[in-house]
Amino acid sequence: MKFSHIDRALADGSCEASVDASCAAPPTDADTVLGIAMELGCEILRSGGEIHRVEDTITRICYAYGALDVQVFAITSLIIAEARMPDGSVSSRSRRVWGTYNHLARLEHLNSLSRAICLSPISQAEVHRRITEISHYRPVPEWLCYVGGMLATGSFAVFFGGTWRDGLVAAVIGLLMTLFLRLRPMRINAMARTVISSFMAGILSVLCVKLGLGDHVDKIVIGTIMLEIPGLSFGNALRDLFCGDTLSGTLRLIQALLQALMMAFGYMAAFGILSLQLWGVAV
Amino acid sequence: MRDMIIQLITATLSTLGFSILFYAHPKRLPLTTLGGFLTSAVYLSAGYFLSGELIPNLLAALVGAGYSDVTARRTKVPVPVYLIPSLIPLVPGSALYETMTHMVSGEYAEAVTWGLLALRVAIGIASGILAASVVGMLIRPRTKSK
Repeated sequence: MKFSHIDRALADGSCEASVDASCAAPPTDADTVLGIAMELGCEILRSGGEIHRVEDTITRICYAYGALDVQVFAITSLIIAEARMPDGSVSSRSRRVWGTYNHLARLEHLNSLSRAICLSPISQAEVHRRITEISHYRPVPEWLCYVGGMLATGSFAVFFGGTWRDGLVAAVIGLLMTLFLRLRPMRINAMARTVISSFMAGILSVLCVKLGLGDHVDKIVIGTIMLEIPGLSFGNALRDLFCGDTLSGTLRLIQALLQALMMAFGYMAAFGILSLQLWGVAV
Repeated sequence: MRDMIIQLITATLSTLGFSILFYAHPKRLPLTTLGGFLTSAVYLSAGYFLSGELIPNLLAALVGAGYSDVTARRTKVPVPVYLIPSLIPLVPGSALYETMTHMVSGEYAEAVTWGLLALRVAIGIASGILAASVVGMLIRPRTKSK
Protein backbone atom coordinates (compact mmCIF):
# COMPACT_ATOMS: atom_id res chain seq x y z
CA MET A 1 0.00 0.00 0.00
CA LYS A 2 2.72 2.40 1.04
CA PHE A 3 4.77 1.39 -1.93
CA SER A 4 2.02 2.26 -4.39
CA HIS A 5 1.66 5.60 -2.69
CA ILE A 6 5.32 6.38 -3.24
CA ASP A 7 4.94 5.12 -6.78
CA ARG A 8 2.21 7.59 -7.44
CA ALA A 9 4.20 10.43 -5.92
CA LEU A 10 7.02 9.53 -8.30
CA ALA A 11 4.62 9.43 -11.20
CA ASP A 12 3.42 12.89 -10.20
CA GLY A 13 7.01 14.10 -10.18
CA SER A 14 7.71 12.75 -13.63
CA CYS A 15 4.58 14.39 -14.94
CA GLU A 16 5.71 17.76 -13.68
CA ALA A 17 8.43 18.00 -16.26
CA SER A 18 6.20 17.24 -19.22
CA VAL A 19 3.12 19.26 -18.26
CA ASP A 20 3.13 23.05 -18.30
CA ALA A 21 3.72 24.93 -15.06
CA SER A 22 0.12 26.00 -14.39
CA CYS A 23 -1.01 22.48 -13.40
CA ALA A 24 2.35 21.19 -12.15
CA ALA A 25 1.38 19.99 -8.66
CA PRO A 26 -1.90 18.11 -9.25
CA PRO A 27 -1.70 14.55 -10.57
CA THR A 28 -2.59 13.81 -14.15
CA ASP A 29 -2.69 10.02 -14.38
CA ALA A 30 -6.13 8.47 -14.54
CA ASP A 31 -5.60 6.19 -11.55
CA THR A 32 -4.72 8.93 -9.07
CA VAL A 33 -7.33 11.37 -10.31
CA LEU A 34 -10.08 8.80 -10.12
CA GLY A 35 -8.82 7.73 -6.70
CA ILE A 36 -9.22 11.27 -5.38
CA ALA A 37 -12.66 11.67 -6.90
CA MET A 38 -13.83 8.30 -5.58
CA GLU A 39 -12.62 8.97 -2.06
CA LEU A 40 -14.51 12.22 -1.91
CA GLY A 41 -17.62 10.76 -3.56
CA CYS A 42 -17.64 7.83 -1.16
CA GLU A 43 -17.46 10.13 1.87
CA ILE A 44 -20.28 12.30 0.52
CA LEU A 45 -22.47 9.23 0.02
CA ARG A 46 -21.68 8.02 3.55
CA SER A 47 -22.58 11.39 5.09
CA GLY A 48 -26.04 11.33 3.55
CA GLY A 49 -25.51 13.09 0.21
CA GLU A 50 -27.91 12.39 -2.64
CA ILE A 51 -26.97 10.02 -5.46
CA HIS A 52 -27.10 12.96 -7.83
CA ARG A 53 -24.57 14.87 -5.76
CA VAL A 54 -22.16 11.93 -5.59
CA GLU A 55 -22.20 11.34 -9.33
CA ASP A 56 -21.94 15.04 -10.02
CA THR A 57 -19.00 15.52 -7.62
CA ILE A 58 -16.98 12.66 -9.08
CA THR A 59 -17.57 13.88 -12.63
CA ARG A 60 -16.69 17.48 -11.84
CA ILE A 61 -13.50 16.59 -9.96
CA CYS A 62 -12.25 14.34 -12.75
CA TYR A 63 -12.91 17.09 -15.29
CA ALA A 64 -11.17 19.61 -13.03
CA TYR A 65 -8.03 17.44 -13.16
CA GLY A 66 -8.28 17.42 -16.93
CA ALA A 67 -10.10 14.17 -17.70
CA LEU A 68 -11.53 13.88 -21.21
CA ASP A 69 -14.31 11.47 -20.43
CA VAL A 70 -15.89 10.41 -17.13
CA GLN A 71 -18.56 7.78 -16.53
CA VAL A 72 -20.04 7.35 -13.06
CA PHE A 73 -22.76 5.13 -11.72
CA ALA A 74 -23.74 5.15 -8.07
CA ILE A 75 -26.35 3.45 -5.97
CA THR A 76 -26.76 3.63 -2.20
CA SER A 77 -24.09 1.00 -1.52
CA LEU A 78 -21.78 1.08 -4.53
CA ILE A 79 -19.95 3.54 -6.76
CA ILE A 80 -18.49 2.58 -10.13
CA ALA A 81 -16.53 5.09 -12.17
CA GLU A 82 -14.25 5.26 -15.17
CA ALA A 83 -12.08 8.15 -16.32
CA ARG A 84 -9.99 8.74 -19.44
CA MET A 85 -7.16 11.26 -19.39
CA PRO A 86 -5.60 13.23 -22.29
CA ASP A 87 -2.46 11.04 -22.19
CA GLY A 88 -4.63 8.05 -23.09
CA SER A 89 -4.54 6.34 -19.69
CA VAL A 90 -7.86 4.86 -18.61
CA SER A 91 -8.79 3.84 -15.11
CA SER A 92 -11.91 2.29 -13.71
CA ARG A 93 -12.69 1.72 -10.07
CA SER A 94 -15.52 0.54 -7.92
CA ARG A 95 -16.11 1.05 -4.26
CA ARG A 96 -18.49 -0.58 -1.81
CA VAL A 97 -20.02 1.90 0.60
CA TRP A 98 -21.00 0.68 4.04
CA GLY A 99 -23.65 2.31 6.13
CA THR A 100 -24.95 5.76 5.32
CA TYR A 101 -26.22 8.18 7.93
CA ASN A 102 -27.09 11.86 8.12
CA HIS A 103 -24.10 13.99 9.07
CA LEU A 104 -24.94 17.43 7.76
CA ALA A 105 -21.83 19.29 8.97
CA ARG A 106 -19.55 16.70 7.35
CA LEU A 107 -21.55 16.90 4.13
CA GLU A 108 -21.18 20.67 4.18
CA HIS A 109 -17.38 20.50 4.60
CA LEU A 110 -16.97 17.80 1.95
CA ASN A 111 -18.97 19.91 -0.46
CA SER A 112 -16.81 22.97 0.10
CA LEU A 113 -13.69 20.80 -0.29
CA SER A 114 -14.99 19.58 -3.64
CA ARG A 115 -15.69 23.17 -4.69
CA ALA A 116 -12.15 24.14 -3.71
CA ILE A 117 -10.68 21.24 -5.70
CA CYS A 118 -12.71 22.19 -8.77
CA LEU A 119 -11.35 25.73 -8.57
CA SER A 120 -7.73 24.71 -8.13
CA PRO A 121 -6.74 21.01 -8.22
CA ILE A 122 -4.42 19.87 -5.41
CA SER A 123 -2.29 16.77 -4.80
CA GLN A 124 -3.70 13.45 -3.63
CA ALA A 125 -1.88 13.54 -0.28
CA GLU A 126 -3.40 16.92 0.46
CA VAL A 127 -6.91 15.75 -0.47
CA HIS A 128 -6.48 12.66 1.66
CA ARG A 129 -5.29 14.73 4.62
CA ARG A 130 -8.29 17.06 4.37
CA ILE A 131 -10.79 14.23 4.07
CA THR A 132 -9.35 12.53 7.16
CA GLU A 133 -9.60 15.83 8.97
CA ILE A 134 -13.25 16.18 7.98
CA SER A 135 -14.13 12.61 8.95
CA HIS A 136 -12.79 13.20 12.46
CA TYR A 137 -14.70 16.44 12.72
CA ARG A 138 -17.27 16.77 15.52
CA PRO A 139 -19.46 19.85 15.21
CA VAL A 140 -21.14 19.67 18.60
CA PRO A 141 -20.13 18.30 22.00
CA GLU A 142 -21.40 14.82 22.88
CA TRP A 143 -23.91 15.88 25.53
CA LEU A 144 -25.70 18.19 23.11
CA CYS A 145 -26.75 15.18 21.00
CA TYR A 146 -28.66 13.78 23.95
CA VAL A 147 -30.35 17.13 24.48
CA GLY A 148 -31.26 16.99 20.79
CA GLY A 149 -32.78 13.53 21.19
CA MET A 150 -34.80 14.65 24.21
CA LEU A 151 -36.03 17.76 22.42
CA ALA A 152 -37.02 15.79 19.33
CA THR A 153 -39.05 13.07 21.09
CA GLY A 154 -40.52 15.26 23.83
CA SER A 155 -41.84 17.95 21.54
CA PHE A 156 -43.24 15.45 19.05
CA ALA A 157 -45.24 13.78 21.82
CA VAL A 158 -46.81 17.15 22.59
CA PHE A 159 -47.16 17.96 18.87
CA PHE A 160 -49.38 14.93 18.32
CA GLY A 161 -51.66 15.91 21.17
CA GLY A 162 -50.00 14.65 24.34
CA THR A 163 -49.93 16.53 27.62
CA TRP A 164 -46.77 18.13 28.99
CA ARG A 165 -46.26 15.11 31.22
CA ASP A 166 -46.34 12.87 28.13
CA GLY A 167 -43.73 15.19 26.65
CA LEU A 168 -41.46 14.82 29.66
CA VAL A 169 -41.76 11.03 29.72
CA ALA A 170 -41.10 10.86 25.98
CA ALA A 171 -38.07 13.11 26.41
CA VAL A 172 -36.57 10.81 29.05
CA ILE A 173 -37.23 7.73 26.91
CA GLY A 174 -35.77 9.61 23.96
CA LEU A 175 -32.64 10.24 26.00
CA LEU A 176 -32.25 6.52 26.72
CA MET A 177 -32.89 5.63 23.07
CA THR A 178 -30.32 8.12 21.84
CA LEU A 179 -27.86 6.67 24.33
CA PHE A 180 -28.56 3.17 23.03
CA LEU A 181 -28.50 4.08 19.35
CA ARG A 182 -25.23 6.01 19.71
CA LEU A 183 -23.36 3.47 21.80
CA ARG A 184 -23.83 0.82 19.10
CA PRO A 185 -23.42 -2.04 21.55
CA MET A 186 -21.62 -5.11 20.21
CA ARG A 187 -21.82 -3.78 16.65
CA ILE A 188 -25.15 -5.53 16.16
CA ASN A 189 -26.80 -5.04 12.83
CA ALA A 190 -28.92 -1.99 12.21
CA MET A 191 -32.23 -3.85 11.89
CA ALA A 192 -31.71 -5.68 15.19
CA ARG A 193 -30.79 -2.39 16.82
CA THR A 194 -34.07 -0.90 15.63
CA VAL A 195 -36.03 -3.83 17.06
CA ILE A 196 -34.26 -3.66 20.44
CA SER A 197 -34.56 0.06 20.89
CA SER A 198 -38.23 0.13 19.87
CA PHE A 199 -38.88 -2.78 22.22
CA MET A 200 -37.27 -0.90 25.12
CA ALA A 201 -39.15 2.27 24.23
CA GLY A 202 -42.45 0.38 24.09
CA ILE A 203 -41.92 -1.26 27.49
CA LEU A 204 -40.83 2.00 29.09
CA SER A 205 -43.77 4.01 27.71
CA VAL A 206 -46.33 1.50 28.96
CA LEU A 207 -44.65 1.22 32.37
CA CYS A 208 -44.44 4.99 32.76
CA VAL A 209 -48.15 5.35 32.07
CA LYS A 210 -48.96 2.50 34.47
CA LEU A 211 -46.92 4.21 37.17
CA GLY A 212 -48.87 7.38 36.54
CA LEU A 213 -45.98 9.40 35.16
CA GLY A 214 -47.49 9.90 31.72
CA ASP A 215 -51.09 10.19 30.50
CA HIS A 216 -51.31 8.58 27.04
CA VAL A 217 -49.29 5.59 25.88
CA ASP A 218 -50.00 6.29 22.22
CA LYS A 219 -48.74 9.89 22.32
CA ILE A 220 -45.55 8.89 24.11
CA VAL A 221 -44.96 6.07 21.65
CA ILE A 222 -45.55 8.36 18.66
CA GLY A 223 -43.00 10.79 20.10
CA THR A 224 -40.37 8.10 20.56
CA ILE A 225 -41.15 6.54 17.16
CA MET A 226 -39.87 9.69 15.51
CA LEU A 227 -36.28 8.79 16.41
CA GLU A 228 -36.42 5.62 14.33
CA ILE A 229 -39.05 6.41 11.79
CA PRO A 230 -37.82 6.02 8.25
CA GLY A 231 -40.28 8.73 7.18
CA LEU A 232 -37.62 10.93 5.73
CA SER A 233 -35.82 8.13 3.94
CA PHE A 234 -39.22 7.15 2.56
CA GLY A 235 -39.63 10.65 1.14
CA ASN A 236 -36.06 10.55 -0.21
CA ALA A 237 -36.78 7.19 -1.81
CA LEU A 238 -39.86 8.52 -3.57
CA ARG A 239 -37.93 11.57 -4.73
CA ASP A 240 -35.15 9.38 -6.14
CA LEU A 241 -37.78 7.30 -7.93
CA PHE A 242 -39.47 10.37 -9.40
CA CYS A 243 -36.17 11.96 -10.41
CA GLY A 244 -35.10 8.95 -12.46
CA ASP A 245 -32.71 7.19 -10.07
CA THR A 246 -35.01 4.20 -10.15
CA LEU A 247 -32.57 1.69 -8.73
CA SER A 248 -31.49 3.78 -5.72
CA GLY A 249 -35.10 4.76 -5.12
CA THR A 250 -36.19 1.14 -5.02
CA LEU A 251 -33.34 0.18 -2.70
CA ARG A 252 -34.13 3.01 -0.31
CA LEU A 253 -37.84 2.24 -0.42
CA ILE A 254 -37.28 -1.38 0.56
CA GLN A 255 -34.83 -0.32 3.27
CA ALA A 256 -37.37 2.15 4.68
CA LEU A 257 -40.20 -0.40 4.60
CA LEU A 258 -38.05 -3.02 6.32
CA GLN A 259 -37.08 -0.57 9.01
CA ALA A 260 -40.69 0.43 9.59
CA LEU A 261 -41.57 -3.25 9.86
CA MET A 262 -38.78 -3.91 12.37
CA MET A 263 -39.84 -0.88 14.39
CA ALA A 264 -43.44 -2.05 14.46
CA PHE A 265 -42.25 -5.51 15.48
CA GLY A 266 -40.29 -4.08 18.42
CA TYR A 267 -43.16 -1.98 19.74
CA MET A 268 -45.72 -4.71 19.24
CA ALA A 269 -43.57 -7.25 21.03
CA ALA A 270 -43.38 -4.86 23.97
CA PHE A 271 -47.14 -4.29 24.01
CA GLY A 272 -47.79 -7.98 23.62
CA ILE A 273 -45.58 -8.89 26.55
CA LEU A 274 -47.31 -6.39 28.77
CA SER A 275 -50.59 -7.81 27.35
CA LEU A 276 -52.41 -4.57 27.01
CA GLN A 277 -55.25 -3.66 24.80
CA LEU A 278 -53.61 -2.23 21.75
CA TRP A 279 -55.74 0.83 21.28
CA GLY A 280 -57.00 3.47 23.70
CA VAL A 281 -54.59 2.42 26.43
CA ALA A 282 -55.27 5.36 28.71
CA VAL A 283 -54.69 3.80 32.12
CA MET B 1 -56.13 28.16 17.83
CA ARG B 2 -54.25 27.53 21.07
CA ASP B 3 -53.61 23.97 19.92
CA MET B 4 -52.16 25.25 16.68
CA ILE B 5 -49.77 27.58 18.47
CA ILE B 6 -48.61 24.76 20.74
CA GLN B 7 -48.13 22.55 17.67
CA LEU B 8 -46.17 25.28 15.92
CA ILE B 9 -43.85 25.71 18.90
CA THR B 10 -43.30 21.99 19.44
CA ALA B 11 -42.71 21.35 15.74
CA THR B 12 -40.07 24.08 15.72
CA LEU B 13 -38.42 22.67 18.84
CA SER B 14 -38.34 19.17 17.37
CA THR B 15 -36.74 20.52 14.21
CA LEU B 16 -34.03 22.00 16.40
CA GLY B 17 -33.63 18.65 18.17
CA PHE B 18 -33.31 16.75 14.91
CA SER B 19 -30.88 19.27 13.47
CA ILE B 20 -28.60 18.52 16.42
CA LEU B 21 -29.13 14.78 16.02
CA PHE B 22 -28.22 15.02 12.32
CA TYR B 23 -25.01 16.84 13.31
CA ALA B 24 -25.81 20.14 11.64
CA HIS B 25 -23.10 22.71 12.13
CA PRO B 26 -23.96 24.97 15.14
CA LYS B 27 -23.77 27.97 12.80
CA ARG B 28 -26.65 26.53 10.73
CA LEU B 29 -29.00 25.78 13.63
CA PRO B 30 -30.95 29.09 13.52
CA LEU B 31 -31.67 28.70 9.80
CA THR B 32 -32.61 25.00 9.96
CA THR B 33 -34.96 25.76 12.84
CA LEU B 34 -36.50 28.61 10.88
CA GLY B 35 -37.07 26.14 8.03
CA GLY B 36 -38.95 23.79 10.36
CA PHE B 37 -41.00 26.71 11.64
CA LEU B 38 -41.97 27.80 8.12
CA THR B 39 -42.84 24.27 7.02
CA SER B 40 -45.02 23.59 10.04
CA ALA B 41 -46.66 27.01 9.81
CA VAL B 42 -47.66 26.35 6.20
CA TYR B 43 -48.76 22.81 7.04
CA LEU B 44 -50.92 23.88 9.98
CA SER B 45 -52.55 26.84 8.25
CA ALA B 46 -53.19 24.84 5.07
CA GLY B 47 -54.66 22.05 7.19
CA TYR B 48 -56.94 24.62 8.82
CA PHE B 49 -58.41 25.81 5.54
CA LEU B 50 -58.20 22.67 3.38
CA SER B 51 -59.34 19.14 4.03
CA GLY B 52 -57.29 16.03 3.33
CA GLU B 53 -53.62 15.33 3.92
CA LEU B 54 -52.12 15.45 0.46
CA ILE B 55 -52.41 19.16 -0.37
CA PRO B 56 -51.27 20.60 3.00
CA ASN B 57 -48.22 18.33 2.94
CA LEU B 58 -47.50 19.19 -0.67
CA LEU B 59 -47.70 22.92 0.02
CA ALA B 60 -45.60 22.66 3.16
CA ALA B 61 -42.93 20.56 1.42
CA LEU B 62 -42.97 23.01 -1.47
CA VAL B 63 -42.32 25.94 0.85
CA GLY B 64 -39.75 24.01 2.89
CA ALA B 65 -37.85 22.86 -0.19
CA GLY B 66 -37.99 26.33 -1.75
CA TYR B 67 -36.70 27.86 1.46
CA SER B 68 -33.88 25.29 1.68
CA ASP B 69 -32.91 25.87 -1.91
CA VAL B 70 -32.70 29.64 -1.54
CA THR B 71 -30.92 29.53 1.82
CA ALA B 72 -28.48 26.87 0.64
CA ARG B 73 -27.59 29.00 -2.36
CA ARG B 74 -27.12 32.09 -0.21
CA THR B 75 -24.94 30.37 2.40
CA LYS B 76 -23.17 28.11 -0.15
CA VAL B 77 -23.86 24.76 1.49
CA PRO B 78 -25.52 21.66 0.01
CA VAL B 79 -29.32 21.70 0.01
CA PRO B 80 -29.86 18.65 2.32
CA VAL B 81 -28.32 20.62 5.21
CA TYR B 82 -31.53 22.67 5.32
CA LEU B 83 -33.94 20.36 3.53
CA ILE B 84 -33.69 17.35 5.85
CA PRO B 85 -34.39 19.24 9.12
CA SER B 86 -37.04 21.46 7.49
CA LEU B 87 -39.20 18.52 6.47
CA ILE B 88 -39.07 16.79 9.87
CA PRO B 89 -42.41 18.25 11.07
CA LEU B 90 -44.19 16.58 8.13
CA VAL B 91 -43.14 13.02 8.97
CA PRO B 92 -46.40 11.08 9.46
CA GLY B 93 -45.70 9.64 12.90
CA SER B 94 -49.26 9.12 14.08
CA ALA B 95 -50.39 7.54 10.80
CA LEU B 96 -47.59 5.00 11.03
CA TYR B 97 -48.41 4.32 14.66
CA GLU B 98 -52.07 3.68 13.85
CA THR B 99 -51.12 1.43 10.94
CA MET B 100 -48.88 -0.53 13.26
CA THR B 101 -51.38 -1.04 16.06
CA HIS B 102 -54.28 -1.93 13.77
CA MET B 103 -52.12 -4.34 11.83
CA VAL B 104 -51.15 -6.20 14.97
CA SER B 105 -54.64 -6.30 16.42
CA GLY B 106 -55.86 -7.82 13.15
CA GLU B 107 -58.00 -4.93 11.92
CA TYR B 108 -56.60 -5.03 8.42
CA ALA B 109 -59.11 -2.65 6.81
CA GLU B 110 -58.23 0.06 9.33
CA ALA B 111 -54.54 -0.68 8.97
CA VAL B 112 -54.73 -0.31 5.20
CA THR B 113 -56.62 2.99 5.55
CA TRP B 114 -53.97 4.44 7.86
CA GLY B 115 -51.15 2.98 5.78
CA LEU B 116 -52.54 4.62 2.66
CA LEU B 117 -52.78 7.88 4.56
CA ALA B 118 -49.07 7.64 5.43
CA LEU B 119 -48.33 6.84 1.79
CA ARG B 120 -50.34 9.88 0.69
CA VAL B 121 -48.32 12.07 3.05
CA ALA B 122 -45.06 10.66 1.64
CA ILE B 123 -46.25 11.26 -1.93
CA GLY B 124 -47.27 14.79 -0.96
CA ILE B 125 -43.81 15.50 0.47
CA ALA B 126 -42.00 14.00 -2.51
CA SER B 127 -44.09 15.89 -5.05
CA GLY B 128 -43.68 19.09 -3.05
CA ILE B 129 -39.90 18.76 -3.26
CA LEU B 130 -40.15 17.97 -6.96
CA ALA B 131 -42.41 20.96 -7.60
CA ALA B 132 -39.95 23.21 -5.76
CA SER B 133 -37.07 21.95 -7.89
CA VAL B 134 -39.06 22.54 -11.08
CA VAL B 135 -39.94 26.08 -9.95
CA GLY B 136 -36.28 26.62 -9.06
CA MET B 137 -35.20 25.50 -12.52
CA LEU B 138 -37.65 27.91 -14.14
CA ILE B 139 -36.60 30.85 -11.97
CA ARG B 140 -32.83 30.27 -11.82
CA PRO B 141 -31.74 31.72 -15.20
CA ARG B 142 -33.46 34.99 -14.32
CA THR B 143 -31.82 35.31 -10.91
CA LYS B 144 -28.46 34.51 -12.44
CA SER B 145 -28.65 37.32 -14.98
CA LYS B 146 -29.74 39.77 -12.29
